[in-house]
Amino acid sequence: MIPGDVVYLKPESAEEAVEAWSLANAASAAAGAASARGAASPRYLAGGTEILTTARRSAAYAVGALVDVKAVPEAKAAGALPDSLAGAAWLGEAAGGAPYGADGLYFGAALPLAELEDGPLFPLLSNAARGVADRTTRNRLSLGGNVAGQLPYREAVLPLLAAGALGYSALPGDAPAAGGAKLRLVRWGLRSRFDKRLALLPGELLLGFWVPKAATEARAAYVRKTRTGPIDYPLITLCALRTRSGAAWALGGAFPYPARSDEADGALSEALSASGDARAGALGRAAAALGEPRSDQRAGAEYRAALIALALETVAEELA
Amino acid sequence: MTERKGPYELRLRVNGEERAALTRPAETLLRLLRERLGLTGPKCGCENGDCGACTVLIDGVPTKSCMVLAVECEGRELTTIEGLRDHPVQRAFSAENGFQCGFCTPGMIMNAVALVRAHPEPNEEADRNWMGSNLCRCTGYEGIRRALAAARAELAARAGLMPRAKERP
Repeated sequence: MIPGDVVYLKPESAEEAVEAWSLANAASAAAGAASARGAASPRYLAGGTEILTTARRSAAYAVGALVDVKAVPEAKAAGALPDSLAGAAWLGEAAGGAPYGADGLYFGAALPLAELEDGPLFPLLSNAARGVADRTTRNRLSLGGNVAGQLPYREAVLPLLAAGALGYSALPGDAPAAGGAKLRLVRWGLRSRFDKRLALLPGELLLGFWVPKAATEARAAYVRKTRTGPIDYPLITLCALRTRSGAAWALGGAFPYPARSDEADGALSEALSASGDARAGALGRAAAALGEPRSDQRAGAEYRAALIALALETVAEELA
Repeated sequence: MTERKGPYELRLRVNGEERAALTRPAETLLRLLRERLGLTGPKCGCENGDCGACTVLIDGVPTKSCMVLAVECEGRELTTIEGLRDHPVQRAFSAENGFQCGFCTPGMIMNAVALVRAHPEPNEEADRNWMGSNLCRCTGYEGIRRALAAARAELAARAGLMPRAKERP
């Protein structure tokens, strides 16, 4: 149960969803100005697991309105890129990044992780999805909620980072009041907007991710270590893909956020074509490029570092 | 666009019947089932999505009802343990002693019903994956494992795929 009252809105298009968020936000700001508790921001809802558990735990996590996006077609699509997103503008400076129009697969942000787990489209994403929570909970947990959530682990983002995925989202139009477009559909490179967490603008609706087919079909490696059994937060989760230039990988669990870097990719790529001390040195540089792992009640930094070293060896063997 | 706020009458289909109840959008499905519809089969264990005691089927998909808002279930088909009538999984849990204190049993059974439907053949990996969603504080897992096997055998026998154990030569 969410403390207090909320307004529930269920739009049937991205345009309705963004408009509903904007209206709810304006209403909430007006109400918040007259309230000692301040404004309770509207939130997009797909699986809702994090919203429900956080709201129950913390009075500081105020929820004013919930905009349920499960009926937004682009958020539930899987496979081909929805036609409505074909004209999405590039967000950011120089246009480009990943090639648009190339062969690839699209995964809607409201898809439940269990559906991705069972789907054959992108095996590395299936593996990463299977690592999150338990099966029944994954029937609710959504891809977008996991990627954009507040928990440190967010394992579903790891294969997307390794694959150099594109993100698609919807933003309020520039001047709808003046008769302009109500909605701006944009695409962006996930790596460029993900620094410890996904940077979304207020009201921005995450619609889904597009992954190049070269990545979905590439040789992949997945290593996940927990303290107890499969249903536990990860000490480390490593997702890696063989790429044209070598390898790309992302690491979760070791830090309070998912991590990757070009330097780490470069070092792992080097290791794939090296042997002996050169290989060991390259793997060491790959691990060091992401920084020192954290210590917490689950594992110390040294133990996590040892797990990363072992995982990188496994990955290098599997990708070589 | 659908909009719901304040107390309102929610209509939904539970265990094959049309039901209506006064609710608020902030209320979870678990609270609605137990406190407004009197369906106390789904148990309130952790209310945090961890234990699985509140598992129900939404359109056939096992779901922890403490993690769903009731308002999201408009127009959906819900099944709680009260909606099962002498189901082979229920009989198997009884026959194989698949419970101890019984608190986790409704959630276990609802998940098992969906599991054997999705995986009618024995499948240890699927069993571990799916049933790992439900905790038994009494640790009665061995009986639950036997119950799954017995339920599958019963369902297979019904489908004419294999003879019941007692009928085998």
